This record gives sequence, C-alpha cells and structure tokens, in this order.
Amino acid sequence: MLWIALALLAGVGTGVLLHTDISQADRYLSVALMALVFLIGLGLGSDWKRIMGIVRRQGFRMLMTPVLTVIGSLAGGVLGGVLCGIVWRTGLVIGSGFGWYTLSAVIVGDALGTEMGTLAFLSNIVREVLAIVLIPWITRWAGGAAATASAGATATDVCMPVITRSAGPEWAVPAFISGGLLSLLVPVLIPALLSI
Amino acid sequence: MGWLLAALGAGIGLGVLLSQAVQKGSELIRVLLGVLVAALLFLMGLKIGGDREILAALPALGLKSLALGGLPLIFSVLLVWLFTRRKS
Repeated sequence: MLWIALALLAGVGTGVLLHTDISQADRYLSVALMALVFLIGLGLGSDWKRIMGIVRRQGFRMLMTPVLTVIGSLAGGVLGGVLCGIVWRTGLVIGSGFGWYTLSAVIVGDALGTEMGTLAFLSNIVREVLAIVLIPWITRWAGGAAATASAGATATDVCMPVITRSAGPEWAVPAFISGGLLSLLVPVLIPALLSI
Repeated sequence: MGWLLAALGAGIGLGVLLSQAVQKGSELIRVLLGVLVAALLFLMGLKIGGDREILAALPALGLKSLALGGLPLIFSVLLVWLFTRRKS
C-alpha cells in the first residue's frame, strides 16, 4: 500500500517546508484518531456477534501477542544496543518503549541523560513509522497477530486503523488489548530495567 | 487512552443499535476510514517534519535509532509469526 508511505512522506515534507506549528498538528491528530476509532467501533458493533466469535476463537493466542511482543522487543533492543556500540542495558530499556516515544524519552532522558533520551525518542518514532508503513506487507506475509506485534504499544491508537484496514475489522479488539497492555507496561518496565 | 476507549465504546454501542443502517452505509464508512487514515498519517508526518529537534538529531542518531527501532519490531513480528504458524 504505497499510499500509506506517500501520506506520511507528504506530511514530513510539508512539515519541513512550512515550519508548521506542531502543537496544532497534535490537536488535529487527536481529532482524526478519535473519529477513526469511533468509525472502527461502528463497524465492529454492526457485526458484533460474528466478530466476537472470531475473538473468542483466538482466545489464548490474542493474549500471547503482547507477551511475545515484549520478549521480541527486549531481544531486539539488546541486539540493537550491541550493534550500535552502546551498553546492552540501554538497548534493552529503549526496546521496552514499544513505540511509545514520548514517555520512553522522558524516563530514559531523566535516568541516562539527554542524548540517550533523544535516542529513545527517535528509536520509538522509527518503530511506529516502520510499523505504519510495513503493516500491510506484514499482514499479507505473517497475519494480523504479527501486524499487531509490529505496532507494539501504538496498536491501541495510531496503528489500530492501519491494522484493521489491512487485517480486517476483527483485529480491532485484539489490537486494542495488545496495545493497551503494552502501554500499561511501559511506565513499569522501563524504570525496572533501568535499575538492573 | 481513556478517550479512545470511550470513542470505541460509543462506536460499538451505536453500531449494535443501528446495525442494519451501518451495514447499508458500509461503503461510505470504508471510504471515510481511508480518508481519515491518510489524514492521520499526513499529520504524523507533519509532526515529525515540523519538529526541528528531531531533524537536528537525525544525522547523529539516525542509524542507531533505525537499529533500536527496527530490530525490536522485527523480533516481535518473527516471534509472533513462529508461534501463530505452529498453531495453525
């Protein structure tokens, strides 16, 4: 889905060229997200019995997605840290942001300084942007659960519409649950890993 | 996250109540969703492109952030893919 990358790139280009006030972008982003989630809910509600049947059949597998996402993200963070020549624990901590760039940057920045805070911010933005662009391809190749895993904590907000558009409306609930659990885990896990 | 949950809940509730009307208008909803996803991604890009601090940090930290953002994503996808492949 080329249009996903194009819409994102058009936004980046416009931001660079126009020196846009990003506080306004934040407000419109929230409105667009709320409208999207409402429309996804509308579609879910109109086909509620069938979709709940699918969710029930997934059962255990639905809860496995966030668990495996945590393990995969931490392993990837450690390997990334080693490859980048930074302390592996820092890689571990940055990987445990699961794409939630604002919160992870603040916690990491407070504990490890501005440079590592900025790296946490950028790395988690990269994760979110890569997820947005790759979700259609990941869905085709590995299915909706893998697409949900790629989004990490952002499966509950920005990536949810992209997941449901690629994998189908029945993935809205699993994506929301997985992203929600990971979002709850970020403020607990990062401080815990920092104390290792 | 609370307001997102509220929007989702309101949508589901209305969808259950007006299921026939919603299913009749499903094509319009699909088009609206496409437009809103494009708008959302454009605004995400605008936020990144309009942030001078992010752009200034990219030359120094770009490759590192690609590794530290990309590898957790790849490992998460691979693990879930391995698990779901075995199950199905």
